[in-house]
Amino acid sequence: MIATLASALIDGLALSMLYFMIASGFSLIFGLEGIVNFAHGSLFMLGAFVSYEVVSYTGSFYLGLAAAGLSMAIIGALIESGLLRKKFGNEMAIIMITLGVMYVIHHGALIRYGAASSTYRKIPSYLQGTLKPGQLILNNYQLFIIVLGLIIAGAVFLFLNRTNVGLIVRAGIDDVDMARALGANTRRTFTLVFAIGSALAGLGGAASVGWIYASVDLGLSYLFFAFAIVVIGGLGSFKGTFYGSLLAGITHELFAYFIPFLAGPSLFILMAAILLFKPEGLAGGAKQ
Amino acid sequence: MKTLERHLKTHSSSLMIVALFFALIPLFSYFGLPYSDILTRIFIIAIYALSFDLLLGYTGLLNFGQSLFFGMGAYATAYTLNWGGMSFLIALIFSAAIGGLLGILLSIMVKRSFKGIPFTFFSLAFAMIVLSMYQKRLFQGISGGEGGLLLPVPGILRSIWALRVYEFGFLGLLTLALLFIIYRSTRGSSLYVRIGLMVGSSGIAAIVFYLVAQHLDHLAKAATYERLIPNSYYLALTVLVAVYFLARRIVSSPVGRVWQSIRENETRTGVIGYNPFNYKLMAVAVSGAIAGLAGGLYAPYLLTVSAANVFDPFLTIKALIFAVLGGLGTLKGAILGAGIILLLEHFLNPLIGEWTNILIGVLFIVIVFTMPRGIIGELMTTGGKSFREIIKEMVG
Repeated sequence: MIATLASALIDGLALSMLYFMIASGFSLIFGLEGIVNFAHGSLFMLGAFVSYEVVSYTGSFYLGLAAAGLSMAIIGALIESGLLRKKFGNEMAIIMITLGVMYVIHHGALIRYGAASSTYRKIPSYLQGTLKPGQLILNNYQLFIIVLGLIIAGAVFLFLNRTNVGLIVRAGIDDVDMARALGANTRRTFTLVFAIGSALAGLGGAASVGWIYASVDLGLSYLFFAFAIVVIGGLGSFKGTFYGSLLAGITHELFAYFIPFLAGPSLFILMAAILLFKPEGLAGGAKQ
Repeated sequence: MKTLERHLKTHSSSLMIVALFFALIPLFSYFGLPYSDILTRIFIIAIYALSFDLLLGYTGLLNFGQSLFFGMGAYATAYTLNWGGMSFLIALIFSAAIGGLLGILLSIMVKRSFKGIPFTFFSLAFAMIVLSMYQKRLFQGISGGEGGLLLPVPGILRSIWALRVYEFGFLGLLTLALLFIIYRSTRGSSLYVRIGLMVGSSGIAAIVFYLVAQHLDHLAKAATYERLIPNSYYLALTVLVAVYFLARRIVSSPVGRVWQSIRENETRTGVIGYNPFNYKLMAVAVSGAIAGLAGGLYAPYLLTVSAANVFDPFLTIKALIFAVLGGLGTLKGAILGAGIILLLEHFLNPLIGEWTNILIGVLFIVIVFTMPRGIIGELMTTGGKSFREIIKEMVG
């Protein structure tokens, strides 16, 4: 019982970190310019496949991760500066553009990969196998995802709280007009945030391949997960997104271990409950 | 009667021409099942797109779970046909009712965050909960599992009366010309006289038709498979036209005005004395009922109803694409958008396969930049000319 609970918790933590990697970028982008980026899930999925290709080609796991993050950062910056920038303030147009991008990536990936799901053929040996402290059985790869997620969370947290650019981001999330009036260049900052958010999504996708496999369906489902987590945590709140991811991931795995038929909808039930009883989200007081 | 006449005159001339065109084309051309098939699909999906535009274009609510209403409508039809053994028309009423009820339920649940992005997210959650429940083995009994629920094709859709009409489409054309002449030459006399004359002459034409049909019966028996036009084509077309005029009527009624006022400024609408919640509830319920009706019509077309093919989130995304491509808040736009995209898919898919969808995605982004108000929206304002004026010039 304890062993099952422990592995549920470890799986839940690992899932939380994947959730966090997709939701944090989504949340920052939404918080800063009020943009709902429908292409965000597709970047997660694309990151997974880029990393899969690079790893099969070069055999280097970390090169795959880096390539996924970097290429998604570039694609994100291109989407932002090439397509979105001209339509700022027009909510409907932004939704349409990101949906169009999502549509293109989704169907492009379908052409290349079809309905099959793929995983890394080769990962470092210390990421395979399990640790067995006492009665527990811990999967090395899940532990790796947890460590990676915590490092990224820490890095983003430091970026937001210890750098000047982070200060502008926080000011922009709080009140974008006031930040602009005080001379902060929120537009250029936003490009950077968009690129970082996309890179995080790509990294998350890359990390997920070794555990849940890369498939085209990931795009849409992880987009919806990001929606749910951002609502649970509070729209536009970074800390809320982190706690929201933890809550969502652990809840999902607890259900998966003990009440399997509720695992699938658990995230959406949580989201609906939050919207019903605490519409401002866990963090509270975030902007609508 | 005067209002009806004015209403028809101001709103419907161009659309009636289009509807008549589609009603008659199977009778006059070598049209056949392949085309009636895709057109039926377009009519049904257009009803669904229209329900989406009614909510987003007029009330400003983006429902990201619209496919839930559509899917439950399809399931409701499957249940009634399978278990109740009832007629298709009753099944359709059930479909619309369940769509409307779900809309009311959704509105009541989302009361505390009933606008903008929070509503979008909540409607998505609502739909995803049902979708993931329907995909579970536990609920296989009601969902039909992976393979879905098989449903019988209702009798009304199996018969093909158009088979006989096809043979004397020429007479139909003559009657139409006669009706048109009567309509033009009696201008100035009262509406009752004109309608009476037209109904009377149609009646005489129908009797002539019947006699000729008996004579030509042997021709009908020799008709080949390609010439059959199933009833579902006319059923879908009729429902589409009816739903369009109903929606048109609603959005220009006082209730529709309040919807548009909520879209523009909800707080002010509330201050004037309209309770925004009640009106938004109405909008979601009406939109849900229409989407449910579309789902009900679509079910026999699919033959099997499964969670994967009627709750598909891509159905919602596509409805959004249809409505925006044609022009949000125009109703006609949603129909046009559905037609364009589905025809593109239909004709390009055999040629370039999956690349069609990439093309649609790109087209979509291009539309946002080149005609941000959609096709109808742009046409309505081209060079100070209204859409109706352009059509009038075209048809004389």
